[in-house]
Amino acid sequence: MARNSISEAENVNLNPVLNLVLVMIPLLLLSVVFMTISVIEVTMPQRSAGAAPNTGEPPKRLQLFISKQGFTLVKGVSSMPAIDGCASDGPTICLAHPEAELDVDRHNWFALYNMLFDIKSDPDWAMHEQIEIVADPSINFGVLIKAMDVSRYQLVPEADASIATKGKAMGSVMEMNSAVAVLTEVTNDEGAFVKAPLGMFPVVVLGLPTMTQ
Amino acid sequence: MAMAAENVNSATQSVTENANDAVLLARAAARRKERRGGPDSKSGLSMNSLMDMMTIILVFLLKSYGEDPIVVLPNTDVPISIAQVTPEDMTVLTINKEGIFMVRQRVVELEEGRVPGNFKKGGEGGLIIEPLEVALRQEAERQRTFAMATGSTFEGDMTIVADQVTNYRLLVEVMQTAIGADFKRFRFAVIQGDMAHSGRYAGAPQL
Repeated sequence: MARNSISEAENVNLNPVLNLVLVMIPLLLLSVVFMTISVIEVTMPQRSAGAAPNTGEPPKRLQLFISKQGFTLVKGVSSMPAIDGCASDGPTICLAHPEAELDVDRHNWFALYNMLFDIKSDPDWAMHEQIEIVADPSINFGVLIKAMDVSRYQLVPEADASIATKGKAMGSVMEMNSAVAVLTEVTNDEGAFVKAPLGMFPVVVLGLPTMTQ
Repeated sequence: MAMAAENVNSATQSVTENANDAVLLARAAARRKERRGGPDSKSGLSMNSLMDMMTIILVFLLKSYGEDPIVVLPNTDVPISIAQVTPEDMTVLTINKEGIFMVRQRVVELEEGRVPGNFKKGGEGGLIIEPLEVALRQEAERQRTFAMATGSTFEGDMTIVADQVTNYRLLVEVMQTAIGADFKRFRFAVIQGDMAHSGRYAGAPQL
């Protein structure tokens, strides 16, 4: 009896099951989401760190304040005036789509990029690499990441990416959405030439938020 | 007596003939099985397929486990960015809707995206998260000991994997706590993508 059951088990045809599994594996592999993780380097001063030494000259700082109402840019010691279409007593760049579902879609990234690119094009600011970003306590991480993307790299429309040697101002929101960072050749630690994105204000320092909320 | 001996001889002959028949039958059956391909060769083929499949799955799993120094925990919608810097192996801190995690261990539980005031130095308005500070100090000490043993130096590098809805206040609290525990260089983990999707997460509603 036992011998009979063993020989039946040996005779079970596994081919249909294996065929099914072999079909399922590519299907499952296709459904897997492949995500490539990258990192953005940032610094944050310690809360107790003292103020910069007073040299008598106005500090050369570029600061971006992010609030639920929009962006305020401070160049040197003074806030930049509001752009056309925004209230003069409000932020430098007001919201583009206040009704948008996601916070990140409400802001006017197109205007922010063009304004930062204008500053970078100014010979006095061409060598300046640092931007200080300060956000309201309720601003979410997604908005912060987009602010870094817009301010860290010089962008060009995708079609010009292979020939561009420096960034350009964007002509439309659509152009901005399809833009890519300009790649330039730099030498790495081992002395080899590698392609790296051309920076606009690549050094990001995060500031402490105003603790009102 | 002679009759008995004859009976024994005939019985012995009969047993021998039966045994010979059985051997012949078994050989014939084996030959038939061989001609048909037999169950032995079939099971060999099935095992080969199975082994192929298992090898593919094993290689795939090993590759996905061994490649990324950063593991994104479930329920963490990491934002998309155009950044293309490859992450390195370092202390990873995860902030999602459920809490703050260090190496898959929850250190602090969040209430509506905030750290409860009783977990912070100075109460609600404080910036230092006490349980996180203790955990980070231990981690820094562990890394210092490891660095001494291997002849390297403790740089205080940290990668923060944060959900895209993490508010700036919480992010600053975590970073200030880490600074207090000797972590000085920070990196934010993001998912590589294009400018149109920058700041959004993988399953976000369409633009």
